[in-house]
Amino acid sequence: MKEVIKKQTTGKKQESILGWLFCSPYLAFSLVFFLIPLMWAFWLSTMDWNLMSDDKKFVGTGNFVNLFLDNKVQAAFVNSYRYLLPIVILCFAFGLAIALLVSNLPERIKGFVAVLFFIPYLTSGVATSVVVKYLLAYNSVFSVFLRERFGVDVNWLQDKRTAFAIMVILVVWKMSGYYALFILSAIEGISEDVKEACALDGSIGFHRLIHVTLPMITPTLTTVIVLATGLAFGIYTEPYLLTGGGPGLATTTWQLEIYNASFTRYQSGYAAAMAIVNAIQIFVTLRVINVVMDRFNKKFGW
Amino acid sequence: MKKKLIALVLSAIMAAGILGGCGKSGGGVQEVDFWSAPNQGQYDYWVEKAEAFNATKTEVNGKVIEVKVQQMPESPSSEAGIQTAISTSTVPAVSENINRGFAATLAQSGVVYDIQDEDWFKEILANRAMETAVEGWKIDGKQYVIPLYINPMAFQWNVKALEALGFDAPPITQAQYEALIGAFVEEKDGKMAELGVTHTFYRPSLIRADQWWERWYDFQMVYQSYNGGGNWVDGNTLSLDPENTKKAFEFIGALGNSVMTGEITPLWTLDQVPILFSINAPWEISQLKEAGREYGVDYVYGPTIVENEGDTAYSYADSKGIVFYKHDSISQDEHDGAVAFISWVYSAENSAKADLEWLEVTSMMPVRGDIAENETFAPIMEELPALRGLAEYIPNAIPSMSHAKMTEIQTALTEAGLAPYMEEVLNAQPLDTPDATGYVEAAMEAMRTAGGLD
Repeated sequence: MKEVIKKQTTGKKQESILGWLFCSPYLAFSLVFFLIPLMWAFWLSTMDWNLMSDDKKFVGTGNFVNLFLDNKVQAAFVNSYRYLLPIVILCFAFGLAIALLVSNLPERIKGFVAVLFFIPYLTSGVATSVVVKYLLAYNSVFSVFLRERFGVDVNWLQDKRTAFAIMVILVVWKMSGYYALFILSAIEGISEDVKEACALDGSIGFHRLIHVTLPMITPTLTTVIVLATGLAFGIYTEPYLLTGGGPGLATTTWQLEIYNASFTRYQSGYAAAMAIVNAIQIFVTLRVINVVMDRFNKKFGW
Repeated sequence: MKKKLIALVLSAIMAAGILGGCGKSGGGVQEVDFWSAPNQGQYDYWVEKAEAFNATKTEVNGKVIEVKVQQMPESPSSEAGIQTAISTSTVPAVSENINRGFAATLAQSGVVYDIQDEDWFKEILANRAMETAVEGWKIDGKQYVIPLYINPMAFQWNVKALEALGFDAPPITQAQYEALIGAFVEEKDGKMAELGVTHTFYRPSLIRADQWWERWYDFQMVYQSYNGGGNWVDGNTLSLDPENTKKAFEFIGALGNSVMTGEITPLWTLDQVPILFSINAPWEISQLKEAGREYGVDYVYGPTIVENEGDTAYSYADSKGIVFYKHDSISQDEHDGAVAFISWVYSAENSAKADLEWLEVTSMMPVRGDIAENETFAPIMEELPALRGLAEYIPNAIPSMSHAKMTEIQTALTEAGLAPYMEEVLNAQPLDTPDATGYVEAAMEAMRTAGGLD
């Protein structure tokens, strides 16, 4: 009996070592690229340091206190939610629409069309921003056409509303096709039995979408909403290249302000404090969205 | 056990070999890293200089110096690239492309050499006749930079539009400037429309606080003209005169909604240039010539506007130079090698040729006091008359402030003053100048806070 227990214990130990061995690459990766930088960022956030000087001044929580008084940080905080709302709604709506459209196409072109919608995701944000910059230039064909044909003379990137709208459009255009793939795979995963049952019960078209399809893919929709929320907090390239966060901080984001603090004003400690507060905001927001979506999922039996 | 020991020793030898290969010194050769500006023209220029220098097999401290050139990373700005390089110990021994403000930041951080008392520096000053010019580069009374080039900023005027408005030369005084705007308003739908000129002044960055460097061109040069020189900051005191700052704001304010803030690309090579004037870009002189735009016929440079005839038209000097980095990762031998390289480029026998080649490649004026008299430069001045036009403004051009918080100060000026003022300006008619007093007061306060200034 003792020998059996000993053998079982040895077996468990070996399994345990094997488990750790398999996890070790991920753990090493997390240690090097996440845990150590995180701890370093915490340390940096307590310093007044430009990354160059030997003179590192400890300021404790001073950087965090200053964040509350900084109008750029306040704008970045508020803008996160201004971006979040339209981006989540539009990415969800367009993602769903594209997925439904593609799912109803003939099998032989379905994959091809899905890839077409996915291409914007692969396109560099820098490239699209440059194209948009040229498109909206004062002397572009588009601007000249609007001026001469309709008398519309809009300074697209220097008006708070249009500049913000352009940022949102660029992000939604880029990401909708990507999210559509998630939704499409969930829709394709609904079994033929269910579809046949719906048809027998007379549930077709919009009725089937609302009462059968959507409830059956709510976990995927939750994933899309959570990913789109994270996306809204990570906007950088488009405002960096097109507006610099303006006009009047209307399009600024956390990423842009963190970059400006660290690399144009050389306040790296302050930028680290910003990054930590940004991380807390993302964590809290995602937690709230998760709780809400969990309740929503439970309602549909997930 | 023996096998294990041999394997261990071999591994150690291999590792040492690999790591040794990472060093810059070995076999009697000392490598010196030089970073050029992140553009092909300047990179090619410095590669050629490095190859010529390497061919001389110059020895310093018993080692042959071999200069290696690479473009500085522009990730996303060259200053950020240098900051990252310093923090990751990958900084070169020497680089160009450093403005006075960033040099002040580097100097305050203790990462560049003070070269003021070095004999080789004094020789370079003598060879380029730049003893006077270098005075404007002092940072807290010391010299850290060898000024490389200077672009005196001026206004670039549309000659055809000027002539159509009855002006045979760019305006010089405030009265002439206002008369010109008045003429533009009168002819906006007439002669200007015929020429395709829809706006007076082109300045897309006026409301962009992130583009803090643009304030050198659209604020500093105008301010210095009204103020008779001077700079933003003296020591740690904000020295901008509020009254002249207001005049600089209202210089643009007078243009009202005729300021073009939308992007136009390219501007001066369009068939019909849609603006009356812009701020010059000397680095485009060669491109304009290639595109068939003739100086004096299509465009002409004019000085900054002064209040009264006879006043000196001061301006901003867009100027950058060379610094030597001081860091644990740079050995004394590498530093000495870098000094030898730069001393060779600007030696008595090479400096004029080096500066001429620089001018040919970049069309940016090298910083030397004898450019007008030195015969070496006569042919290119003849070939590019626009350069002759600009050379006139060099004596009265003042470089950027030397304050470690230059970026914050210039950002604050836009955020609290210029950008909100422009919102009002762009809704006003030309010559119906909005009062800038409140905006200037807000900007002054914001700049003091941002820069920790008195």
